[in-house]
Amino acid sequence: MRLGRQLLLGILAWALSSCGPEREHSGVWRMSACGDDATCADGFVYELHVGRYGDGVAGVVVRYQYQGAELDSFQRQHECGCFLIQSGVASDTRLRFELFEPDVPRLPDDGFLSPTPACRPPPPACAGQRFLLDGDGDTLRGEMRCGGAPRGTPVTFEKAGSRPRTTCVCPGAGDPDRQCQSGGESP
Amino acid sequence: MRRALAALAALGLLIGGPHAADAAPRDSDVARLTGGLPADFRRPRVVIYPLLDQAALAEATPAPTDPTAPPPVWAAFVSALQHYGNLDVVPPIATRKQITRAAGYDKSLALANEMHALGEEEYRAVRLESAARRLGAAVDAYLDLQHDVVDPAAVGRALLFRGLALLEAGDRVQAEAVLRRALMVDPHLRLRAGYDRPESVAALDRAREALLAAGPPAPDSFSLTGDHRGDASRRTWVVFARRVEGRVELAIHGPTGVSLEVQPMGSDAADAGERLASRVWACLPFGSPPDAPRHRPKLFLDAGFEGFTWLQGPVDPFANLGVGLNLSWVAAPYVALDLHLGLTNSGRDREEDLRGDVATIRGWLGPGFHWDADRFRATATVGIEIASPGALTITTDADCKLFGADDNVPRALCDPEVDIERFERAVMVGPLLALGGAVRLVDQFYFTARLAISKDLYSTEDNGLGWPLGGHVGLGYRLY
Repeated sequence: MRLGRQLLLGILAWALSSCGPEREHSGVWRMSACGDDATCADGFVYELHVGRYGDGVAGVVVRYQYQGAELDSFQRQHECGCFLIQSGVASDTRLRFELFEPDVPRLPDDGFLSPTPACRPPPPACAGQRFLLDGDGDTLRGEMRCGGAPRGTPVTFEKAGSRPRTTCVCPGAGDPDRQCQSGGESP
Repeated sequence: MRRALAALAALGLLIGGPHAADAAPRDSDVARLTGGLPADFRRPRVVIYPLLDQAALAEATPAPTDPTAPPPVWAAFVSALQHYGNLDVVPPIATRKQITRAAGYDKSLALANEMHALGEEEYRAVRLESAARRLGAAVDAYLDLQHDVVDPAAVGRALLFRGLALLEAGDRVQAEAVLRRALMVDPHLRLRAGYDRPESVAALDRAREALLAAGPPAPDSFSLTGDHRGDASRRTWVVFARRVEGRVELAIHGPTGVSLEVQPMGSDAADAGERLASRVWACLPFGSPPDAPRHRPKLFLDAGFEGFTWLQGPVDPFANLGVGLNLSWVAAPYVALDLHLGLTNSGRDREEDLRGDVATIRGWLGPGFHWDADRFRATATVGIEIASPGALTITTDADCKLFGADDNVPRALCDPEVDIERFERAVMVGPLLALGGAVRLVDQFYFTARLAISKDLYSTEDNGLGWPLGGHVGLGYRLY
């Protein structure tokens, strides 16, 4: 029986290799609404870089300062922090994950540092900030919730690309005074 | 296979001793003949030349030769020999026809006849030397064609006129030798007293009497050592016969030489002929069953696309695609030796636990069953496979999959030492079963397909991979 199952899986592997729902939601998602507005109350918009592997989810969340409806906020000069995803799980159309060290914003790209960050002072870190999303191939809807909060902020994301970023580094890497408190070889 | 059976039979004889051989006596030739022979039985071919009736030499005025009414003893002999079903007997009439069907026979015969006619005209015109020379050339041409077998009277007449020409030219010794030769070819040859020249009649009579005095000499075909005519070969025997006073003599030319048989003629000619046939049959080989069709080795080369998956592995099954080459040498009926080489590269498993391409080299060698008929071929091979999958990098952690072993990734999310497994290239050896089929498209080109599965019994690296199941499709060509 077990051999038969393996045989069936083997045959299926030919036809279905890397083409099933196990890669669903992988890609870049940009926030298009936060509640009834384009941005959240903290004045930021978020961009999700998601890699889904079966029921596991990894990736980074990049935070941008909102520039108004007429301007594209999702530009590198408007980045105000990058967060790693942890505890990501997926099932069918749902995604759930937390931000790793939400109070320690990283930089989304190695070597990039805005010369004059114009970031607004971030709000106090939300412990255990989570994203609970549901959607199809083009839109994700759900909420952004702090760990202990009973309800979160409704958010909507639109698919913006298929190749997620895979770096989210500590600013001033190699600097003994770097800001990241944990992760990598950090003290 | 036949050698193996022969070896087994020899072993049985050794173990069982003489009694084992006695236990299954071989059927006698008579029993085999009575039991019937298969249509494709290989019968010895026996070509019978017409009887040379030298008994006629003793007659002053013998009856003219009639090929359709041979002496009773001879007719009984030929008939009896033809009744032995194991022999392929060519009777004298058919032998004559075979001679006349030889390539160029008619054209050469026309030339010989023309020389013969010119020679006779020159004899009548008393140009004796020229006549003798031309008639001698005609006789040589006749003998080259074996026309003395077909029409001994014509050849005898050419010799007669040559002898008479020599006689009238004064070469008495040579003339009588030629006349004796004429009587050897046609013992019924006579001149008519009172019509032909008396000197000629007397010369021919002297020649006939000389032959009778010492007993008619046997023709050249009865020589045990000299050259002889006929077409004896490995499967063909040629029988020459002559009748002399009171007996029939045969010269049987076979592949190993000449043997002689003599049959006295009693009062019952038919009985004598049958007895002679019985003796001849006994000294000829019986024949043999047809040889089994000889197998010609074949060599097929297939090249095409190949793919497989590991049914057992540390991750979900993943496809491996590439190219393959297969050599199939059909050494004996139904037996082939297959050699296969394949080079593939991996795809990804369903959840992408496999983090890098895996190049795999596979090769197998083994004997197998091979069947082919007209356009189709089928093979079943049991062999030994050597497979070498490349290095494996495996993780089930989504962060490790996305970020890899990036130093900037916190160990809390992905610790390469803990979350990523690595295996070096392995070499795996084990038995293999392959089933294949092919259909001929055109000329010697085939479309081929093959399915193979193997089980590794030995591996240099415990990477968890096992039971590769795959297939090969491509184009094949029969090299010879």
